[in-house]
Amino acid sequence: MKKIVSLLLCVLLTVSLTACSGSGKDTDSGQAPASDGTGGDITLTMWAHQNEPWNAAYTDAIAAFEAENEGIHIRLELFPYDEFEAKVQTSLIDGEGGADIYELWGGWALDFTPHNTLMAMPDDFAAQIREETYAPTYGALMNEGKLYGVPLEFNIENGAMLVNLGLLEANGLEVPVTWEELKTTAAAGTVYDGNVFQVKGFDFVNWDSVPYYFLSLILQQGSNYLTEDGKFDVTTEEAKIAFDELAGMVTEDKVTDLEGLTGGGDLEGYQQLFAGRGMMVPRGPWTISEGVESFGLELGTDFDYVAMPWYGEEHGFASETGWSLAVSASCKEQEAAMKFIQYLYEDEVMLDHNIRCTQIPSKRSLAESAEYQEAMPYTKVLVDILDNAQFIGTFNTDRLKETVNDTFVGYCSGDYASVDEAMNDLNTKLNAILE
Amino acid sequence: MKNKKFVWAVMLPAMLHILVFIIVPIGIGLVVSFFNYNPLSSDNTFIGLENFRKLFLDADFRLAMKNTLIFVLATVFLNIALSLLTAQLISYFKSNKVRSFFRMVFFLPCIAPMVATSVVFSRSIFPTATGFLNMMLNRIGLPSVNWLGDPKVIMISLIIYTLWVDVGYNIVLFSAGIDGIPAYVYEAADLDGAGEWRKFRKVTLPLLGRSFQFVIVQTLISHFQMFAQFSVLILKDGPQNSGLVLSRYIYKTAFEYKDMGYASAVSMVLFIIIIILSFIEQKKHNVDWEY
Repeated sequence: MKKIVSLLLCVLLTVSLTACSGSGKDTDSGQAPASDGTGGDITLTMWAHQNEPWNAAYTDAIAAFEAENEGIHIRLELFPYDEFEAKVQTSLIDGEGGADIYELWGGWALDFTPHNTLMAMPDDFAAQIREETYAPTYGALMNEGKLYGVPLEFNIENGAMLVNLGLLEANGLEVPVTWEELKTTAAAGTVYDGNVFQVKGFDFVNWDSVPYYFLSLILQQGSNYLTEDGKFDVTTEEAKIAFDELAGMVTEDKVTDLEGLTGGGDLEGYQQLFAGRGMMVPRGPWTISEGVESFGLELGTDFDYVAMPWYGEEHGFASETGWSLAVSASCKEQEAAMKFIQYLYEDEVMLDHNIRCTQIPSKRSLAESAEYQEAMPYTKVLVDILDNAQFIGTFNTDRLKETVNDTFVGYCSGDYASVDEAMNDLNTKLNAILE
Repeated sequence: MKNKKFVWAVMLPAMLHILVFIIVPIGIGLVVSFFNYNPLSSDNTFIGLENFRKLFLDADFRLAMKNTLIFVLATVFLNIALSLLTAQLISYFKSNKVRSFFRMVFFLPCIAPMVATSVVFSRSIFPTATGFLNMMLNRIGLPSVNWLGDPKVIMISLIIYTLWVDVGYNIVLFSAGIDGIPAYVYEAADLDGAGEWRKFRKVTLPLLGRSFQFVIVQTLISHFQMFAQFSVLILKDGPQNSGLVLSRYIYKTAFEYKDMGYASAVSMVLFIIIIILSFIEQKKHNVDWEY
């Protein structure tokens, strides 16, 4: 009897252990669309990152879509941004579980498009997207002539900056129009308490802006950071001038410090501007809502969003593919998923989404439309320059940023004897990314 | 004999768990380290020891290894010294309630999620301009320190945080060990005229051998694997990778660079280091007493 009890106990524990470990197929949020059992209804899972206005826009769009398409349901699942990238990547790597429809950062798509992890858009729809949207918005979604997603926005961190109007006025300064004015205004507005900044005149040192402006300054001098065969070349005179120009604002003009890259700050640069500790900060328009909602400031009175002066004669800049939507290649109901994607791409729906999410539209017609300009007048400075953008390139932009930023911190900290040495080192490291 | 079978039956689920979730993954990790393995690619070629050869040429790996060893040696030594001292001080209280209260207070940081406390430290304690630590330093006339932005200081900040978050666990373990030492041993020492320091050195320390062994091995292993503070408390591994440790490097290589083969090779090195250190520690502290 004891033997039987022991054996039963053992079997029970083993079974419970196996059950706890899961079967590998996440049936609750997996690719296999749920069904009502009658073979009629389809439920698709969509993953997106947590962002209140964005999530509300998705929820409303889903409700409207479901009303128009009886029998198709979209279950929206949200994740904190910091976890979201890892969730998306591991589920797509695994090929099991995960979602049917993904909200995807363009740069992440580069890892998946060559491996048939995402569904290619139908040819006619892909052609329509390429015709109607700006090239940088879908660059990372392309692979061997196929398009693997729909761009939702034009991701832009160049061309405009936040200015704290109160600090400008207190110092008797005006919004700079030329690059030289930018530098003198920044120097005039910078305030120290001993070695600690009280106000940073021009805080461009953050994870995105240093790499973007480095590339942008190269392009504005009429040069390029990529060779014709797609390799990096930052050993040119233009690249050295660009790097030195940016580093000089930290080491010589001292209008900002390296805190945005090294850490040690309680707030990000643009938040410091809203808190009255920064005068000019180049960032994307997505920061505006935070100034209004979290800091209780008024756009146009307390702060403004203005055109960033150009450095050179050529008004070019590089831009990477931003937030997009893609369908998993292992989605069992790709037709229904495509239906939803195409619905979101419709002008009216996309315009509403862009406005509610404070995004620059990926579609040219929407960016230039009167409705959009009326709803988001402060984005005009950016819409005016969108045609000057070129797609940044098909490489891991996180690694590009990490490499440029590391070299920038090292150069500003005196780790390199000269800009030539820094650029040679950077060139080697950037080309290693391509391998 | 029957008793033995029952023990086996009860242990079987735990052994299965260890086999499935620990031994098999280690085996798979070892196999993957011999491949140029990208989970997205259908073409994962066998490259033998190439990933291990690459380790010797990789400056980031060497830096991560150096930072890891500095971090682990400092935190383990300081953690054990502080927790032992605190446990001894707590043991001087006669009241059980008072002892429990102090143990609970010191244990509280262990309960809080490390990700959350890392955010609190990065946003409220360590910031240069507005952080609590610098406010205290300024108040006593000392200059501000760039706790998280200075490559020479960042490891000190990480050690301070780790001690705060982790010391309570060992205080509880040492307290249990000290409480377990029979009172008559101390009474005998008193009769021999031993002072407090002598009693601590000649009675408490030797009799805590088993606790010591467990605490050292367990702290070593957990500190080699620490991740949250390196991922959340500091920004992108700190200035010039001054906060890059092996656990972060494994994550970066595997999930950001998608080079799972190389990440597995780094994991194997970390695994071997932990095994060797644990083995040496066990051999060194082979004790007969159990408190």
